[in-house]
Amino acid sequence: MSSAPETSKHSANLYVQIANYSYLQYSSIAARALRRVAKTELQAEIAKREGLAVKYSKWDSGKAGVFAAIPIVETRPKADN
Amino acid sequence: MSFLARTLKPATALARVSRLSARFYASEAAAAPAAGKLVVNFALPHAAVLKGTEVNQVDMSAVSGDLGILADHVPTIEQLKPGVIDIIADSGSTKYFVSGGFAIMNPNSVLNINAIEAFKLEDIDPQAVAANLAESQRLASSAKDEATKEAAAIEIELYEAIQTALSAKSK
Repeated sequence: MSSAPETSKHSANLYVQIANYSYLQYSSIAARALRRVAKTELQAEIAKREGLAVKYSKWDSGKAGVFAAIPIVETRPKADN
Repeated sequence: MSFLARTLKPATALARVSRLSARFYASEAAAAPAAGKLVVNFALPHAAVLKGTEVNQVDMSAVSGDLGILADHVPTIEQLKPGVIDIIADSGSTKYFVSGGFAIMNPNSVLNINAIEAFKLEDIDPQAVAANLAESQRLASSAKDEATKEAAAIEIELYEAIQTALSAKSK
């Protein structure tokens, strides 16, 4: 899940070159980056759906663990996100 | 008793078969579009951008290459790159920029597009793109850990794709 397929020669796709991220993390980072550049008048609308993201939990012997957001690296200081 | 079991068995088996045959693929439930038209469903987690809209053509940037989809396209599933989705209808073309996702072409001219985030090209602020691209490039060269560098590389790919799309539009 976390490592890219070594046999892939698909250089057009950045995702397969990236070793540290799963597809969900990759697409979350891309979506966050796109949200940042929407026009200012849309930012209020975007802020409203904050937290509307995939959450995951590890199941162990029939019981769900803690539900957490997909961990993605912060690339901007919290304030201007 | 055994006679009864023998006669009942084929009847229940038959009932099961007929129940199965009543099932159908979700794509078959949608109404068939007019000849030469493509039905597009374009969904984001928080909104349905297009729902059952009849269009002429959809251009997109997929991992396997750029493609334009017309009515009766062969069924395919494409992983989308951060890029433009151009929806061409009789009323004109509408360009959306998606952060990546999937496009699923069904056998009956129904195209489903799923993405996490999408904005119309005119809703994107070119100054914010330039500023964020510079910041991500700075991060890509200065970050100490590999994870941050790779996140910055993903952002750079996206911002560069937006800049290409915006400059193509202004020409």
